[in-house]
Amino acid sequence: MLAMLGTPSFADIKTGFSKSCPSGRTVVTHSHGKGNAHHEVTKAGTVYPKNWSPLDLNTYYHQYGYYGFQSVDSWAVQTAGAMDQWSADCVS
Amino acid sequence: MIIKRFGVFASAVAVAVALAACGASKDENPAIQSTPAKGSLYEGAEKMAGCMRGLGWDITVDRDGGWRSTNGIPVAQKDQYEKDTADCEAKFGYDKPPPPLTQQQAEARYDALVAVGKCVKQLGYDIPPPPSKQKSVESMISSGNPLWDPYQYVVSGTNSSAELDKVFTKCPQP
Repeated sequence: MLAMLGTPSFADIKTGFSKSCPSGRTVVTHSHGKGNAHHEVTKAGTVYPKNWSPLDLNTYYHQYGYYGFQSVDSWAVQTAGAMDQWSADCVS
Repeated sequence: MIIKRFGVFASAVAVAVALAACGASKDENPAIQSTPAKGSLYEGAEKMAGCMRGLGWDITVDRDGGWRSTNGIPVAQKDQYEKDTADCEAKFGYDKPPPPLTQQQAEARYDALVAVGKCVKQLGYDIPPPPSKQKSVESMISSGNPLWDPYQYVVSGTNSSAELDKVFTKCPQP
């Protein structure tokens, strides 16, 4: 099951958010809404960006970025549209 | 271009070093790699991937309709990557804010979501019934939120990215 690391405010997300997962888990970022979405995690000087660019920006989507790291230096979720859910989780 | 190509190589080295330093297994990949499914997200991803590749970036399109830097990029190249992303989005009009849905669009969206719900349910997931069409359509027109999304109930019950990948493949996002 997903274990929530945190559901920060939108301002936190735009500026990045530092979290790590317990050993043996991976990081998953999540956003839910319409429009473009940008997720990223940073680890050891490398940033792993992932984007969603819908042809129809009005479509409501779940966007999940799975990152196979047990911990990261920081993670961020940004959107150009309207998102009503965003989070970063540790997956068992 | 040379810098970016070097960046990709350097990124791969950085990943290898990072993984080795952490004693990580080879299963620790930066993101799940898979064959993309068809759909508007996928088509948008393919367009963006083509544009970004033309600017020298190594890009992978995933089955979930997202696109990403295949091996990650050095933090020092992040600003250039984001600028190129914004330029590509502007090229295809993806930089525009979503306009409000019309009644007809909202009704079509509701029907598409209900169809997805039936598909996901057939895969064995417990999906609660959708809200009424009127409620959902009114919400979509005012805020974009349909009040119900069948994928939500898949995600809350799984810890497997491969399982989610399978659901998005068999029941693509409309």
